[in-house]
Amino acid sequence: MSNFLNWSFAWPANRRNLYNRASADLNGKPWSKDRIGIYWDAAQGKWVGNDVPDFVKDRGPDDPAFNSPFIMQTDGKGALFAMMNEGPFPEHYEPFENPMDNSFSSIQLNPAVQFGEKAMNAQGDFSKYPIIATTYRLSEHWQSGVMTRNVPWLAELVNNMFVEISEELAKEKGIKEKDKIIVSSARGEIEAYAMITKRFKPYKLKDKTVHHIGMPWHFGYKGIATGATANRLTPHIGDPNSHIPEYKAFLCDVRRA
Amino acid sequence: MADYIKFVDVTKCDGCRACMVACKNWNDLPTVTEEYSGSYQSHEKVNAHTWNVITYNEHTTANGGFEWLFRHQSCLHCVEAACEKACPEDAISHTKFGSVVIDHDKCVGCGYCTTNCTFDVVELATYKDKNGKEYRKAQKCTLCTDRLEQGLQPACVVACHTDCLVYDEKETVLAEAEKRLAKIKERFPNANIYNPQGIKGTTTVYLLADKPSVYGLPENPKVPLSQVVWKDYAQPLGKAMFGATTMAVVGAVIANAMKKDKGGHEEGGRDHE
Ligand code: SF4
Ligand code: SF4
Ligand code: SF4
Repeated sequence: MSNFLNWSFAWPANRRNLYNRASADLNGKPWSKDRIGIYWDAAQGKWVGNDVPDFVKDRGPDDPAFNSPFIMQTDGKGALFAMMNEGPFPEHYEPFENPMDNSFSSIQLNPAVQFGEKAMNAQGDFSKYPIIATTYRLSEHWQSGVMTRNVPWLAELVNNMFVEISEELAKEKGIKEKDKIIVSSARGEIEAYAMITKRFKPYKLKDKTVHHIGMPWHFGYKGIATGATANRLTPHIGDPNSHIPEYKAFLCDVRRA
Repeated sequence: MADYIKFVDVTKCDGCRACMVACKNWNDLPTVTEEYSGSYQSHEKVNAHTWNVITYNEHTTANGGFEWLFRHQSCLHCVEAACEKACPEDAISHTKFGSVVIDHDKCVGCGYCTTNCTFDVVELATYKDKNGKEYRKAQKCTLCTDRLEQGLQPACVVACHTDCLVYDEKETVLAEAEKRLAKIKERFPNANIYNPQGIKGTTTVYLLADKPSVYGLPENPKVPLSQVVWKDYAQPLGKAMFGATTMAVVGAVIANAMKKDKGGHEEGGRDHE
């Protein structure tokens, strides 16, 4: 561990790593030769090394407090601060609807996920809804658009609900530029304009080729600019900790209107 | 006064369109809602009430790569301005800021400027007088000359959050542009500074990420000689001999003929294909 103790100054004692006593083991020796923080020099009877000791300077292995290096905790011991509802460590879980098995864990979905109303949360199966969808915002509109879709100069810029699809998917489904399409999920369906773009591409997921579509969720039925509501399609489940709903990944199908 | 220009570095534009809203806001322009275009582009091109438009082009590069190219499209304020040369009423002129402006007291709505503009960015707006009679006036970006006169920057420049749009001393801006060009060449080998010398340069200068034709801009625009002759010789002479009205009629014939040899749009095409 390199510290540049003469470079600038770290308040309050020019110490660069808090609890640096923990960089040495119970005999006061560095855990690793390559990363020496501070260590106990028995000959001198004090802590020396690459930092200002964060411990009483002349208290060695014989001292009863030697094994309590976290001096700002009442018990002097280290602790994890982990308030997540699904366990102490974050783990990868897959979305509620998903074409893939979880490669990182035998548990597919976060077990602490919070469900909204049952009726809004039918789960679609990949065999029936083989396309991945996502929703997002645009710079011209804000949230569900109730304000911005009523501002003429903003409504003029994004006046229609649209769904972005790849050239490959358009070809497969016989969809042409400016066609209206129907997007369906286990929860509902909407009609919107197709926006055929090079910016969406099918994914190769292990042995499967999976299409991906995207759409804004700013539209609604009243205002200067109106259009179908993307949240007719999304599942209404919340992250166990932030309660943020899972509107970014779900399954759907697409056909020409 | 040092020369100032508006500079558009399209490689910094993120397509947010704050410039479009700022322009309508400052100039109090009504909406012109167009049919769904099939892309993010809101208007096919600038029009009489929409003085700048962001064009969106999903471009496949020569080596098969992909670039989403944006351009803030508006009047370029040509030093040799075809619109000015075409106008039979002397309604179009250059200000001390280098901007090309239309005097609406003089404009009769004949539309010669619209047919002759090198970049197709001036259009006729239709209004009604108090008796319900329709009349027309040519409209386009003014470079916010009214703001410049008050020591303010153009409204679109102030709104732009990426410094894609800047308004500053010409020498400084062009020197910066050269540096920026060198920096982006690796990603955009065809990048260039668009300040066409065939029309003696422009007061809105672009840094383009690809060839002008990719953006629907003429590669080497010129004001046709016939048009220069028309403005600088035939018009003054004609007016002296036949009076202004006759000259306007003669002008219609000539303007249409001139439109054919405007030239330069070889590979142009629509910006947002
Ligand atoms: S871009 Fe067109 S309208 Fe603008 S100054 Fe040039 S010729 Fe005139
Ligand atoms: S310079 Fe002024 S008039 Fe021209 S596009 Fe910008 S805001 Fe509109
Ligand atoms: S405000 Fe600037 S970044 Fe936004 S669209 Fe206009 S030029 Fe581009």
